[in-house]
Amino acid sequence: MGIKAIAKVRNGVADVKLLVKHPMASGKLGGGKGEPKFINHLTVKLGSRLVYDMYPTSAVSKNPYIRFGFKGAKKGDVITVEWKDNTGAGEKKDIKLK
Amino acid sequence: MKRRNFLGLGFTTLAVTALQTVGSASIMSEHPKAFLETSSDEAIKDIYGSNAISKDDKAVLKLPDIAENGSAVPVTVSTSLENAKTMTIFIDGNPRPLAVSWELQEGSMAKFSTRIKMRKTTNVRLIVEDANGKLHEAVKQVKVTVGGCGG
Repeated sequence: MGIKAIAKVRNGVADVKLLVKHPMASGKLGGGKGEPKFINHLTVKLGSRLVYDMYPTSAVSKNPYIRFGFKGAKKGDVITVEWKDNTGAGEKKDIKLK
Repeated sequence: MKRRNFLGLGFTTLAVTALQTVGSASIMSEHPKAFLETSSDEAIKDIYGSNAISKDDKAVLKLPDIAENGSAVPVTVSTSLENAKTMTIFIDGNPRPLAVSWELQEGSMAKFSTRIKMRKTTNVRLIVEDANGKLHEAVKQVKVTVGGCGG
């Protein structure tokens, strides 16, 4: 588990890069062995505003890399990254925009 | 029949998980069956219905021509459409073609990057659903040197 982030603001637009530690295992569903374990929902919020809403499957690579942007950001704003996987595990992390 | 039963169980688990984790109605919680489909066409139908799909320049799919490592193929999707609703990637040659879906938010840039797993050389498809529910598609073939669906 663990979320690494580089999040910068330029001209009011945030550019967010995330690296999320997760096996993203397809298991039997992908023709392999074992139980599937993969993130199936990842959101990013700025306060109560949803700025990113992603629904991965086990076809997203191990330790997912994610990049996106949104308008209306300023330096010092704090975004909250949250993910849940198909087993019910999850993680939440606040990241300050630079 | 046993396989059918197993899939049924998986389907229930996935559906319940989706309902627990997703507050509002969403593409994946509304269409959990799509993830288990084994063909892109069926998965697209589950999510988007039988609406006509236009191949135009509104859906933009950036992928390498050749991927040396199928377990992490960089992809960027985008659209020039204002207020597009959803974008979804399907990988034809994967055991489960539905790869990843996004719901676009007001004020968010309609451009997303991530990395995907590809088992073999195949077509990758991007479907963009616009504000009126119309569908736009981009298709690109990627040659995969070493497949990456294990694990």
